[in-house]
Amino acid sequence: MKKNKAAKAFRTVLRFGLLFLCALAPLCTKCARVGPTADIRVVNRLPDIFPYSHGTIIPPNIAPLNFVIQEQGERFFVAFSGQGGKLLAISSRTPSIAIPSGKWKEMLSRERGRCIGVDVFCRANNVWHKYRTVWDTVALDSIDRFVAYRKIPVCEYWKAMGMYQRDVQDFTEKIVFQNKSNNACFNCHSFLNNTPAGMVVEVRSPLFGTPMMLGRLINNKYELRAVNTTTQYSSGKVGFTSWHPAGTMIAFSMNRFEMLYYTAGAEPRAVFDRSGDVALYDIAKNEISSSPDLSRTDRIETMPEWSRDGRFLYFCSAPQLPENQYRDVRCDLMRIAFDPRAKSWGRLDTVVTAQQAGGSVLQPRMSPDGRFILVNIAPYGDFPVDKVGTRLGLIDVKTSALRVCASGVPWTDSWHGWSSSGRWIVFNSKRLNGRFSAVCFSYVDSAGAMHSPFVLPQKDPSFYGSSVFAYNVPECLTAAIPVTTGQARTALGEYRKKSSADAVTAASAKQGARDEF
Amino acid sequence: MARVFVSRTIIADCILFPTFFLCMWFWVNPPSLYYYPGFFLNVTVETYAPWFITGAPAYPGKLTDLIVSFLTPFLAGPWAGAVIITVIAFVMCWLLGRFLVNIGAHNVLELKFVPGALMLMQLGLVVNPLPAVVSIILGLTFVLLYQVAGRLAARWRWVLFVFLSAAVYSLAIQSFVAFAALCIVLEIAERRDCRSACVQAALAALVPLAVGGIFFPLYSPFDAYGHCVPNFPNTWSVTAWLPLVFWIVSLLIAIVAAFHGPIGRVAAILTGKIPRSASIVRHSAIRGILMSALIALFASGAVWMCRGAALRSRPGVVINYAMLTRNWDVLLGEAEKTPQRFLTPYHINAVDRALYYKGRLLEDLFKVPQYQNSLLLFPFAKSTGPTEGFQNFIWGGWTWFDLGLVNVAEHCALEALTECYYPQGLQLLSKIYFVKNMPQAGRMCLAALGKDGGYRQWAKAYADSIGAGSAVSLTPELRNIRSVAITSEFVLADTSLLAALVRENPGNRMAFEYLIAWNLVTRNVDSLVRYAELFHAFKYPKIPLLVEEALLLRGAFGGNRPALFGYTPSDEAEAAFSKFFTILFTNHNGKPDEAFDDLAESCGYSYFFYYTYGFSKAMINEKK
Repeated sequence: MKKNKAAKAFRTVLRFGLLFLCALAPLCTKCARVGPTADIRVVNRLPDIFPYSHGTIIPPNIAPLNFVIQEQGERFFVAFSGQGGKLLAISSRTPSIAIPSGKWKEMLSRERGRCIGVDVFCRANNVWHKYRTVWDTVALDSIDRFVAYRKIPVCEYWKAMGMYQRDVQDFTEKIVFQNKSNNACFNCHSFLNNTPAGMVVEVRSPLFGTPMMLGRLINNKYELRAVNTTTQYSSGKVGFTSWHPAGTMIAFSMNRFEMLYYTAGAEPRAVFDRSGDVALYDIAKNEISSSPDLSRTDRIETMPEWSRDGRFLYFCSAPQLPENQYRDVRCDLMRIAFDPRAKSWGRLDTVVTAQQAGGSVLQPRMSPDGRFILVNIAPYGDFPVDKVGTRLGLIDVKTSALRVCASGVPWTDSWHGWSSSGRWIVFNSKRLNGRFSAVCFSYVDSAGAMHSPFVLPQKDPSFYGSSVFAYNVPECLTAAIPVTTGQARTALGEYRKKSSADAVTAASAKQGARDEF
Repeated sequence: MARVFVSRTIIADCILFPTFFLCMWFWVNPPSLYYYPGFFLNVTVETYAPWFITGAPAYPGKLTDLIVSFLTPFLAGPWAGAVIITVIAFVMCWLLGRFLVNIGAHNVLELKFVPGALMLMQLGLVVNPLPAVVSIILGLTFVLLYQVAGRLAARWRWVLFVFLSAAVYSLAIQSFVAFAALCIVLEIAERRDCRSACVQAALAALVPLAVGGIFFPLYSPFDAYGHCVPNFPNTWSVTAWLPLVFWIVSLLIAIVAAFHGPIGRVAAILTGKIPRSASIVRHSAIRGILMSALIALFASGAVWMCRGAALRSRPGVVINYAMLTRNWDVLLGEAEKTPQRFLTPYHINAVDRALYYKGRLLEDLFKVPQYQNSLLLFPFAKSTGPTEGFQNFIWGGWTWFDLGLVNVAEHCALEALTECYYPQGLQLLSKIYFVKNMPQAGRMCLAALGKDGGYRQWAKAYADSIGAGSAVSLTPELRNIRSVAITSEFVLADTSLLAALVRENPGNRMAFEYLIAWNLVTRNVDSLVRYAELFHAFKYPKIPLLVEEALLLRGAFGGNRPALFGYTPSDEAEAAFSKFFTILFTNHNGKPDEAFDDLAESCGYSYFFYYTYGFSKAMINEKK
């Protein structure tokens, strides 16, 4: 009897609960498809949406480009349409537009190679306003699934920093390295042909020293070891690195960076390089070597990059100037021939001079097809990220012709790289606010024209409106980095135990080279 | 019997917790804690950065951080803050008391107040106890859950233990050890089953490895265990060690209490009978008195240990709060009543700023100890270490901003943010970016600050006052800073900055006064003379006393009548000068060592004294 009563009471509660939920359903923002009514006022301008930019080319496998409508209104409505009509509609009480992931993917796969229109409607004072349609194009070429980057506070000290990898098809972000427990600085990373099968990350830590973390996929097993690059000729502080396409050698720069603090200007401080040399690490031999042309005492040599055939090493070079002439430091783009078999250096050429480029030519990155070199043109210096007005430029390898990209904003674009297909570039840009950099992508067509960029999408549409972190050194990857923090700790621990015994050997410095490479 | 003990602690509850609340309200003052950057210094960035924590990848103990991040902004309100802290302390003590009652340890129930007392002590020392306390509350809740559920389903208690310890590891990692230890103690104290306790210990040892491997694969096995124990401090100071002591004591109390006293109960368990030696403490009245005496002894010992640190940290908290609220009178009042030895160069930097705003910088400069680097804190000095740098950044940033060196202020604010979550840094940054005409960056900082409950209203009001779009409507403060801000770019070196500021903006009165003050502090009278003629340009009705004294001194050295740039010599300076000369040369034959006491007594705060000895009367104790 009691059981029956209880069951009856339970059923009654369930019934009322369901009724209550049904009554609430229309109030649910996401469910309510309240679109614009017939009375629509047309606003003859594009809508102000953030951080999404207008007229971009987007990859067909990118995560939803969520955005915030920065227009006045109490209700918002966004309609995506293609050639076949309406594709997707979102209604919201807030200006934050979070696009449903499934429908977005479906839309992109259907509209691959075609244009999609984005109509933004805002209801203010009971009148719907429609802005001009934003047209974007879905590219035929997909982008590499992962992007690895550093996420750091905008700082000089490295108390909280990490290297992360993000799946661009959704919003999953994972830690690769984080310095929470070891107070280390993880410097610029580089990969072998857009795969984590070869990875280099430089570590600077009061606890572990300055090893070069070398990750390689050997017999389907990922091996991570810390290499001590200190020799009687080299300081052991590895800066910028580049993998030889064969995966057997790594060219790297050794820089003595210092911070200069400015009284005025948009950037409060900038990096000044007291010396820079380029050297080569032979993985199999565990040996470091250099060339007199890569380690001159009167010049800075930095930012090496291999040609796709591995027969040339591109690098940036500028006269070594004192600190008070920091504004006169301008790098030329040079290249030196290399014989991979004999491992010998050849002729030195100047590819583009600073004068020709109208600024310091920095960070050369060779396109996967070897046709273009993507560079930075900075007003001065050899560290572009803190130089306001730094632009991306594309150099045709055959003709050495330079095309500087117009960014539309005065802020810096730097730390660029290519996707494995060569159709996309990734770079970090301060274009959103001038200070806190974000990861951006841009489509590069077969003629070498760069199209309007878009920012790495985030789950929270308003993420970039309040993120005070800086993203830098983004690199496109075809697969996820399989390394764990545990592996890094083990490698660093082993390095600490036997760092002196494990040090690399140095090929003797050749005539004309400085004592220190 | 049990009722007697319980009601005894209820009376204690009724007395202690209102006292705790009043202590918080009148002595600690939650807003001053909340606005004090040091309060956030020893905790992770994730715990307090509301703009970071929600988006951070999963890590063990994140729930604790989320709760703390939600609760902390309430400290910005005095009432809400005091209530929140009192409630948290009450809940912690209540849970501990509940645990003690459940295991039948009525006779040591007073021990439940010890973690609360330690928590109050931490607050008094401006050490943030919230992450540890919230973690302990979560841990104790799970212990009680285990206790109750374990009794109801004794057969399943192993499964329950594994499940709950995994939950504690994931949600409140800092209390994982405490949870495991208490469950083991329960096994021994309630069931007297040492074998089961050993099995439980083995299971507990495996949980971090298993849970870490499945749910937090980014952490190595070492980290899986390492995160369970709070970090050991690097320095030997009460402030640094107190959180660890709190953690250990909270754990020990429960364990010791569970054994009903270290002698009697353990011996009883081991031998199966109560020893005679323990019989005296079995008498309830004596036990109560002993327990109260022990707690009182512990509390007084702890207070004695902490008193120095508390005296040192208190002025800093008040001065910081007064500085942020620009309450210069309170700031100067606090500085005046604080023993000089407790004033650090950072506090003095704020005091100098207050003196400037009250128009007393060049009159009362030497009434506070002036160290060479306190007037200006140099955040870009190469020798500056990170921790030292943090103090420079947080205190110095505002001074540089007011002086018009916004780039240095920006550097300070950005670097301070790397040490810990520092909302004032975001506040300063937002102002800087509006001054630098980078409104998007300014709004971004305001939006980040808007996620902090303590600053939400301020951020919204400020954003509204600035306006939307690229057209920015600057507040009077920002307009003033932009008008005095340096615009020529050069690499920062050292003190020539002030001269550059004055040269570039002849209307920058603060830079001018600081330049004069810097020359006074560094005893560079020749340089001072070069700028003293600008007093007319700044329309000073009379030349400030300390400057006049410096000029008199220079005139005396040169054997000339001092040049006062058209100002009339004041009687006060003339009298002080003649008194100084009489004491030094007439009474003590020009021997400064002999004349020290007399001079300190009669003109210890004058420039004559400072110039002669290199310090003022305000620093006498320190120099001695």
